[in-house]
Formats: sequence, structure tokens, C-alpha cells
Amino acid sequence: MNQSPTFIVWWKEVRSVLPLWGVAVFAMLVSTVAPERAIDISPSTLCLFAFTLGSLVTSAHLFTRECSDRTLIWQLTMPQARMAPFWRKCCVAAGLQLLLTALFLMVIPRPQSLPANDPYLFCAITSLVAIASATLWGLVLRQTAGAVVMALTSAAFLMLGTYSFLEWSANELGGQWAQALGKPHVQMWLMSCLWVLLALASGIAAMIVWHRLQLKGDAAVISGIEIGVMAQFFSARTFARRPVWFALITKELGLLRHCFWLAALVVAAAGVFIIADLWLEQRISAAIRGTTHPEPLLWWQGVLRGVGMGIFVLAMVITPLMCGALAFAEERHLGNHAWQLCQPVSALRRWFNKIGTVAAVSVILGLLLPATLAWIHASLRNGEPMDSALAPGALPQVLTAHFLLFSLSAWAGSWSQNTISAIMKTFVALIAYVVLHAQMAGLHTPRYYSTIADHPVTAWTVTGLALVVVALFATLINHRMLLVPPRNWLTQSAVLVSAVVIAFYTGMVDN
Amino acid sequence: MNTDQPVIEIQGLTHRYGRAEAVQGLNLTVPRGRCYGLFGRNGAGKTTTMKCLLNLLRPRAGTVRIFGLDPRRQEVAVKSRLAYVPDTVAFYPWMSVRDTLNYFAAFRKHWNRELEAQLLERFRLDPGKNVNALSKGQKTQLALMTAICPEPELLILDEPTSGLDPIVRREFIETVIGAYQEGDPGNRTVLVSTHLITEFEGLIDEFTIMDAGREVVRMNADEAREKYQKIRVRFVGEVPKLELPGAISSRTRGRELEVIVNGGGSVVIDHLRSLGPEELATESLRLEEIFTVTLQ
Repeated sequence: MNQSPTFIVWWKEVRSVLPLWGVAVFAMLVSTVAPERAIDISPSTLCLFAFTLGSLVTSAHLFTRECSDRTLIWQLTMPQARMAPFWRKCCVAAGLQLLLTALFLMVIPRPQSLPANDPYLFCAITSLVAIASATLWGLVLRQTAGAVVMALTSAAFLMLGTYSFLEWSANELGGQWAQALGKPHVQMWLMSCLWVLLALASGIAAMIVWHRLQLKGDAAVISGIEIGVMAQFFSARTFARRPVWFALITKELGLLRHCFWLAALVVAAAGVFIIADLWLEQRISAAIRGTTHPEPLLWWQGVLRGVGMGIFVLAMVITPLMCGALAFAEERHLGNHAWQLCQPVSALRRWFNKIGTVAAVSVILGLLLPATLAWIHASLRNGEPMDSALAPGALPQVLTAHFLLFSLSAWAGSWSQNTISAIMKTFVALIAYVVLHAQMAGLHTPRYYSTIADHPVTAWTVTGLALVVVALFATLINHRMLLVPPRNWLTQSAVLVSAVVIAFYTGMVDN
Repeated sequence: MNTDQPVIEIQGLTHRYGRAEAVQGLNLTVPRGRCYGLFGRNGAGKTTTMKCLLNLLRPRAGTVRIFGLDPRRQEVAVKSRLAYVPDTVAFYPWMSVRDTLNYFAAFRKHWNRELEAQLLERFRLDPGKNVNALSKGQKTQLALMTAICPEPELLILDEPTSGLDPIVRREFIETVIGAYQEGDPGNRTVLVSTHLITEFEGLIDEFTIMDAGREVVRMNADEAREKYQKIRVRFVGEVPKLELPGAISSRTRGRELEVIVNGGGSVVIDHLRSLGPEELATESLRLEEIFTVTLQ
């Protein structure tokens, strides 16, 4: 053995999240080189998104990977203190987070566009929430995607709760208190304190959960297998009693159970947001009519709308990603894929049932649900939409983006062994697509497509739809195989790139 | 080291999953240097018992001691003297066989590299191969290596031979576990839970048969073989209708009667001899037959 035992043990922890961390670093670096005019999204927004998501995913995955790989049992039976792996993982999370933060501060193109106008404060808060909150949720839910969603949701709820309290106290308390609380910097200070408290509480809770893991730990070690057996049992019962199409659809809905949980969370969060926003609008109107300064209220409205927009975007982005990845990768993770392939149902029929059901769920939960919630919000505000992205005119772009996310994650899921790996690969594919498209658009400006403003056919929709078709076809090929060899997905990646290039150039219209 | 002290001592162990009682008031004592079998049907509570021993599950009631220590309070001290092979084996998917062995060795003060090389050769495992490319049986072999190479005082094996082919299974049981115990005779203890009782026949010194979370039978293997006997009698004519006190079961096939007794075999034999049979033979029951008879 050439390496020291200490190095081996620590390197194992780093190596377990290195691909995810690498994706976050790659995304942050790429966001700085992508030409802004070619991709309608500000590079700082992309960088911010990559940093926040990368922080949360890395911290949560350090813990959840032991469950998804079913290796937790080794950590618990090795001659080491129960808390030793916990602290080791926390230290690795902190180290990787520090590196990510340093990189973020170096590459962020526009610090002034960050929330709170302070990149250092933003980094500190994100890091704390990532290490503590994502870790806690990772230990409780034992799934990275769920942990990230819950960490974001708990942070959003804290923000809304704090806002409501501050708003109430600023209006109800008299004298200096009200004046002091009405000032943005005091509110920011209080908010930051609460974020730190949230992180501390989450960290302590995570320690307790890990320490008492044995109470639920056994279920976690074998949960994957148990669920697999239960799913097989359920499917067997359904196959025996119901028509095949019904059995296949029921099974698909079972695989997508996490998406239904996410939808329930989105509805709850959107409900709180809508109530808070309407209440705030009333207060602003009252302030404008009266003598109170409306600036602090308008500032809070901006923050609230940001959170509200985040809820809708989260639902619109995460749902198709999760639907596509879960539909294919979860089956392999549970060990049911081989069993499914042996059923007396043709691969094509099985694939159609799967894609049809999952796409329907994705559209309902990822498009119709947020659209309905946005429509309710707009109706209550006299038909005024919160953002142009939620307006009906953006439908072609939104639909293309939705099916692109769905089909790419389904394709990645069709050759991945678990959901988080599929989502990670989808991110890589998406970033590659954005960069490739941006570079092509840099060479041939999008004016070739259409000079009509808001025309539904843009370079993005043309290449996006080409990707959707090719990715879904590749999914069908992979779905028939028990194990997809690397040469298959490498070839498919090359075909996807070719499809984007061909679609981009053949779709050009010379004006 | 106190050699008289039992390696494992369980008293009144109870564990529940929700409302379902997995283990109910189990008592178990495993002396040093013995190979102890834990037998039972699926869901009998064998794995739960092992996980309570390893402090992976917290018992609702009862006490557990390993080497006289409480595995909950002296976790590291206990686990540094034992090794465990779970029923479902999984490894870190990015590691090779060599990386995996090095990783497990990193936790141990002692690791026998010579034995590791021997076992790699015997199991024909390529050290450079990724663990994802290993078959189910090969993963089990690797798990067994990670348990045996640190040469622990106690080896806890939960269905260790599932997934192994018959040749490797026999080799593993006879050579690997046998050699492990012979490496330090009288000091190395094995607690094994298995369905393949016949395969472990020659190794098991003592055993407990569990059913629905309770102990049904606890015995020394030699005593059990003496006590449980199969008596085969062939009569000249038809088999007469008999009332045999002490017989657990009897089966008639043509002119032949097969009786299984649990103790008191001599009384039954004398009674059968008095009927003037054409042929009478007795043989000890194998452990698997004792298991089947006990649970039927």
C-alpha cells in the first residue's frame, strides 16, 4: 500500500462527490465565457445558479451517496467512532465549499447584481445553509434531489416568515423600533442572524440524526432493496389483475412519487407567497395613500417576488428534470429493470407507456401547475403577471425548454444507474448544449432566424426540438438494454451534437 | 484476555419494527473459539439479532455484550475486534478491488497482506478490476476478504455464501473459515446465519434455531446429532399401526417405516425390535434435517 491510511479514508469522501463538484466548477467557469448576447440569461445569474446548486448538491450528496450506493453499513461497522464519518464528511464539505466560494468570488462577473448587494455575505449564507441544512435533509430524506429541494424550501420559508414578522413589527410597534426595523440594513442584519440560526439548528439536528442513525439506519441500508421488492410485488399483483397498460401506467406513477411530493411543496409554498404578496400590496397602497414611506415595503416586495419567482422556476425546471431521470434511472437503481425487460410486453409498448405517462405528469406538474398558480396570482392582482416568463406569450419557448429538459434527463437516465447521476449528466449535457449553441450563434447571429420580435421560431426552439426528438429516440434504444456500454452513450452524445449543428444551420432563414 | 468469558452474551433481546416483533426475549451465549450457527426461516429475526449486536439497531429491551463490552458504549473497542459481512454486499462504485481492500485496511491496525494475496489468487479476483464489473458472487468474495484479512477475534457472517457457486462455497467454508479458525485455535469465534446448513455441517459447534423472533432450539451440534435420530425399520409384511412415545414424526413407504426421535431413541428401538422387523437401522440426523423437523 503506497498511500497512507488517513489519505485513503479522506480521499474516499472527496472522490464520492468530486464529479458533482466538478460539474459545479465547470458550470461556473463556463458561465463566464458564454457570450451574453447569445443566451438571453445574464452570466452572473448562471454563475449564481451553479454556485448555489453546486453547494447544496455537494453537501447533501456526501451523505446521501452512502445510502444510494448501499455502503452505509460499512461506515457503521468499521472500528471507528460513530461520529467520525460524520465529522469527516462535514470537513470535506467545508473544504470543497471554501474552494467553490473562492472560485465564485474570482469569476463572478457582476457582484453588484447579487442579492443583498454583498457577495461575501451571500457566499457565507449559502455555504452555511449548504453544509448544515442540505446535510440535515440529506440524512433525513436519504436522497440528494429531495435534500436540495427541502433545503431551498426551508430557506424560502424562513425568509417569508422573517419578512412577515418584520413587516408586522415595523407597522405595529411605535417609535424608534418601528423606524429601526423599517430600515433595510437592520432587516438584512436580522435576516442574516436568522439564517445563521437556521444553519446552527440544522447542523445540531444533523448531528443528532447521524448519532441515532441506528434507529432508522437499518431501514435506510436496505430501503432500496425493500422498495424494489415491494415495487415488484405491487407490479406483479397489478399485472395479474389489471390490463397491461394500466399496470404499466400505475408503475410509472409509483416511480414518480418524488415529483408528487415536490408538487405538494410547490403548492404550499406558492400559497404562502400569494397570500403574503397580496397582503404586502395592500400595505403598499395604504402607505402611498398615507404618510408612511413605502420604500422599505417596496424593497421587501422585490425580495418576496424574487422568492415567488424562484418557486415557480424551481417547479418548472426541477419537475421535468426529475420526471425524466426518475422514469428511467430509478428503475435501474431499484433493480427492477431486468425484471421489467423479462415481462411479456414489447419494448416499444413499454417505452411508449413510460414516455407518455411521464411526459403527461411532467407537463401537468411542471407546466400546468405553475401556470395555474401564476394565473391565480395574476388574477388576484387584476391580471398583471409577475414576470414576462409567466405570460402566455412565452409559451413556445417555455414548452421547448420543458421538453428539452425532460428528454435530456430521460436520455441521461436511460444509461445511468441512479437518479442523481442522471440529473448530474443532464446538467453537463445542458451546459454543453448552451455553450455549443452560444458559440454557433456567435458565428452566425440569430438575425438569420427571424427579424420579428417575439417570433416563436428562434434558433433555440429549432435546435431544442431537434434535441428532443433525437434524445427520445436514443432513450428508446437504451431502454431495451440491461446495461448501456460507454460506446453507446458516447456515440449518442456525438449524434446529439450533430443534431444541434445540423438543425441550427438548416433552420436558418436568410432575411 | 479472559478465555472463560463468552464472546457474545445476549439476554432478553427484544426488537420491534413498528408493531411487528422481530426478536422477542432472545437469549444467546457464544463461547470463545466456537463456530456458532443461527438458523431460521426468512423473517425469523436472525439479521435483526446480528444488527443489534453491531449497534446498528437499538434493542427495545435486553442486554447485549460482546467480549464483555457494551457495543453501544464501547463501540470502537468492540468493532476493532470483529468483522462483519452483511447479507447484501455493495461497494463504492468508483473503486477497484485493490482500492477497496486498501480502504478497508485503512481502518484496521492489523491486516494480513499475505493472506490477502492468497485469497485474491484463490478467488481469482483481479485487483485492478472495478468493483462494478464484479459478479454478485465475486462481490461476496471481496466482502469475505475484507472481513478475514484483518484476522479479527469474532467474525459475524450474515448469509455469507449466498451468490457463491458450489465449488467456491465449499472452498470458502472448508478452507477459508476453517483456516481462519485454525489460525489461532480456541480464540477465533464465528457467528454465522445461513440457510445452507448442510454446507456448514462440519464447522458448526453449536447452534440456535429461531422462529418468529424466538429461540426454538439451542444445542451443541454433537449432542443434537446424538439426540435426534432417524430409525428405519423394514417389516416382512405391512407396517403395523404403532403408537411410539418420543417420536417426532413417522413416515411409511411400502413396508418401510421411518421414525425420527428427539431423545429416548433406545425405548423406541426396543419397542420396534419387539415387533420382529426384517431390518432395523439407526442414523444421526444432519443439522439441516434437525432444522426442518424442528420447524415443521
